[in-house]
Amino acid sequence: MALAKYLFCSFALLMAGCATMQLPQNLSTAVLDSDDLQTVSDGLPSYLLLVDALTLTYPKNEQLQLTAASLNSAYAGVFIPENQSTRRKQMSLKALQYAFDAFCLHDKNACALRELDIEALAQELPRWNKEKDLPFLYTLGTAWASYIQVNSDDWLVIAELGKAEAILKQVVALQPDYELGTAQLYLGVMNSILPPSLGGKPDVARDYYEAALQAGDGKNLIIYVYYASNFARLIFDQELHDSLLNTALNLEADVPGYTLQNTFAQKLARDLLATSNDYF
Amino acid sequence: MRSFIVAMLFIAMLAPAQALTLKISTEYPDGNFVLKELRQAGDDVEKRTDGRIRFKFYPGGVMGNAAAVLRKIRIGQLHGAFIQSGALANLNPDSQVLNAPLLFRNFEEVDIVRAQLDSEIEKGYQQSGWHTFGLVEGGFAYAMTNKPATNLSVLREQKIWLPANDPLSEKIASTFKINPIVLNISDVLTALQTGAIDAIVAPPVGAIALQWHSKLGYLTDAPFMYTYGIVAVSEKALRKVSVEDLQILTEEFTAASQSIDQQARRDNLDAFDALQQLGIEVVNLSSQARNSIELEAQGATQELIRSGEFGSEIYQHVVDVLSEYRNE
Repeated sequence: MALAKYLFCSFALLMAGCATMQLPQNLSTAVLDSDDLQTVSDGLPSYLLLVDALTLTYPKNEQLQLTAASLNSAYAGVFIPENQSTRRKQMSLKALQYAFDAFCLHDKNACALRELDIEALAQELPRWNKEKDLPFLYTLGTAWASYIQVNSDDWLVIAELGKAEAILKQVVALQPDYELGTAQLYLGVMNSILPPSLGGKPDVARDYYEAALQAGDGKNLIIYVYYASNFARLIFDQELHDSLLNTALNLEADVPGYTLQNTFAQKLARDLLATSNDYF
Repeated sequence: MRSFIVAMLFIAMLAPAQALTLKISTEYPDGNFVLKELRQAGDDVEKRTDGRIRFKFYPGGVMGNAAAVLRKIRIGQLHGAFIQSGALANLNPDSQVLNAPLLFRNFEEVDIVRAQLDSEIEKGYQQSGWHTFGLVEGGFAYAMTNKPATNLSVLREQKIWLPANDPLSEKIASTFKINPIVLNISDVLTALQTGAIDAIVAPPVGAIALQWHSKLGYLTDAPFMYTYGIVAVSEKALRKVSVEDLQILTEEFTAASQSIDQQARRDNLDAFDALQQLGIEVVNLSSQARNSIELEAQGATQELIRSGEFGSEIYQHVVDVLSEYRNE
């Protein structure tokens, strides 16, 4: 799932929070524009602890809660290995809780969101229709989706998929190109979990991926990678798979604010291309 | 010349003579537990046979529906499949006996019957040209409704969904005098949302994975049908495989099938519990209602036997095993 994006926006948010601690502003830019995944992987846990501490220090600061949600969710999804499932689950749960808390601080009407069933949620969502609501909707939707992904062995959690999808649809309804198409990408991934014979809707997924590519404008390379790994592999289209990955590799990774994510995307693209002939 | 022969021998040692790539189709998508188990089994077979047997998996139903997969196996384009039992029913009709309506009351009964019947059912597959590795549980399909379905009359009043291209289910519905609404599986959620249907017969895992649970209120605790699948490889594809390699293949894929079987059981039980926690009310039948519905099911089953869906002999075997267990 397109988790990598969390990481990159979360640094900006983290640094916004850290400004109060007088940490250098340029650090945010340096991390986002880094092309060294290993350094970020090694260094990020320190920031996780830092942001946890900051949320305790400033419990009413919605921006910090938002940052904590993004950062924990990103680290759980991108850097904790799949075989450490307990760690991933704990961290993604923490991220989800931060996302709910952030939304609750932003608007008290959102404090009971977790308890709503899908129909009640769908009725409530149109209330958040302003640009200022987008970061909270987006962070909650993506953190929830990631929480579901790492808890795919828990049927109670899987049952929440429709709610995460509804929130992300609200993001897309408000601003289709938000975060260079990442919300669209999530919806594409959610709709390509199952093949048609088991109830999936690849056509719906394809539309989301295509919309994400358009919104990404060639700058958000992770879209190409997940389009290939989650859709092209699902429908067994090697030509599409390889074409998307080669495009990702040929595009410029050095995009301000996206360099780290794009570097990660290109690493995944190389790995997927290396196994293409074995898979297809 | 001598160096040429040595080179050829060397190449022959690198590339296993008679390397066979078995092409296996399944509806499960990549990344799913089933695919992971099958791929692991395939890798283990390849290692243990020094590359003499390799595998290529075609996930997500990309090889088409069951009929298309069987056709491709017949012409050698594929060699096997992890497939729902119904797909092979034409070749091994008795395999459908476990799908008889309302045959089982719970999973304990399934275990008792399968302990005695699995080998008999597998023998049927083998006699019809398949190499198989054990039955793999799909689970129970339950009636899920928006009104408590305490008997068949209530169920008949519902707008009940039935999957397209499922002849046995259609026949069962017909024998129960249920007029189903036939839809593709991907259209069910929309149909529930719009009220085009208001009841389904489905396994709890499916109801949650496809978010159908959010539009349903009740589950009748009378397993309507038991389903299972099987990994089947055409015997024709294995003719040239040595006895030793066939043994390795059988060991690895039997272990994988058992692992998937056990996981399916856990998933079914967990999903059933989850449905209740999600607010679906379980409707328990009174003993009178249960007797009545089972009696109707037995009548329906006799019709299935008469129309050749499965034999009376194997059905009687199942009934005997169940009676003995229930009378203990």
